[in-house]
Amino acid sequence: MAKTRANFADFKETATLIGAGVYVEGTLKTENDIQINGIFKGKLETAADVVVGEEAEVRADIDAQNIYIAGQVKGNVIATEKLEILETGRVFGDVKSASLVIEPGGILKGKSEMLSTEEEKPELKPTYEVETSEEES
Amino acid sequence: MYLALINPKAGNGGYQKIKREVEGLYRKLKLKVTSLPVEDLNNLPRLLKKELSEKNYKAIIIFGGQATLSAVIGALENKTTTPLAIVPLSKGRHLSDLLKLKKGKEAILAIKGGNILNFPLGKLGEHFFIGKLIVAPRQARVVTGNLLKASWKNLLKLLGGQTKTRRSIATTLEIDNSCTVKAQAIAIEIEPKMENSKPYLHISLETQAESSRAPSPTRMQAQKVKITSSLDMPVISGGELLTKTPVTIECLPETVPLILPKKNGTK
Repeated sequence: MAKTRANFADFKETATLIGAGVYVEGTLKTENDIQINGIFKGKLETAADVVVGEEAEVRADIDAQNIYIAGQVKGNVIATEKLEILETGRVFGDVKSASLVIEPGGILKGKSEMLSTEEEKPELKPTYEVETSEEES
Repeated sequence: MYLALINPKAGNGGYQKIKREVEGLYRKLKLKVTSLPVEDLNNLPRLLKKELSEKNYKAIIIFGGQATLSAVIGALENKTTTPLAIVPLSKGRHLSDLLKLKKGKEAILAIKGGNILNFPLGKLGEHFFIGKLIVAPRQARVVTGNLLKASWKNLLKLLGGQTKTRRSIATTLEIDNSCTVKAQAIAIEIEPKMENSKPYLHISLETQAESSRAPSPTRMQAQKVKITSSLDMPVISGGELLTKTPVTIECLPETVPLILPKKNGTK
């Protein structure tokens, strides 16, 4: 089910949830969803999703599958699937994602690069060989 | 053959009250049991090592509370081999509720008809524990009772009394040597859990946020957490005060096999 600001409640069972009023500094690596409602400084890495809440302040590089930003992020962001900057979201850094959505009001200040999800097309080989002759006139 | 380790002091001499019933159950279930009273838990490792070297026991039945359980687990060199059946004799119902035992004799009946469930195991200093540890501000009253069944808000009422003021203390948690968490903590719960057969510590931190909104919880997973605070905070397990902060709590890679009645949600 797609996670949007309307259903951040989907994250209520998140393994890692940094509440408002909590300051975390360091490297946070996990296999599950992460939601930040406080202040985080360092590096965030997960195979699942990251949500940056409206009141949150993140000074870190983020590497995740889907990333939803309603707060402030200063750092580079890599989303292997989707990056969504919501209307209150502010990102200051370079972003890479397969899909990028910026809602009206959302801010991105940095470079944006699209990650291709297409499989590499096989190289086509000729079915015949072209003969060339240097002596043709 | 089964070994019964009895802490005669647990639950204010609780074993004496149930001794006849227990011996009746042994006869009914045709269990051959060697009973070993352990007056001093410090002697338990030596006594247990001697017994286990002489005979091959199918399981160990423990009559006692968290302290007895901790001593037995500490004494077992290979924690994941010998199944344990616990007959809780604590003053509170913490262990009974954790293991979903309405009556202690259910643990003995389970020896013949129950299941073995691997419980994730935590360590606080030299103390082993299963279930939750609670780290709470100074004025928290050490309470007995149904801590585990209490909802989060009721738990705080029990810990902090009936006052409306909820005190918070500047607290620092060091998670796995990789993250430092700073907050005004109202209460911290730490529980060993398991996911995909991997044990970990589940940390729930309730804090006093600076904003006027209601305090929001923080949840993290870790293998090890070190807690320091500006004022010492009691560390409580099952209504019993274990120690005070600063503390280091870790999740052990081993689990402890417990014999439980089949109805206790064993998968």
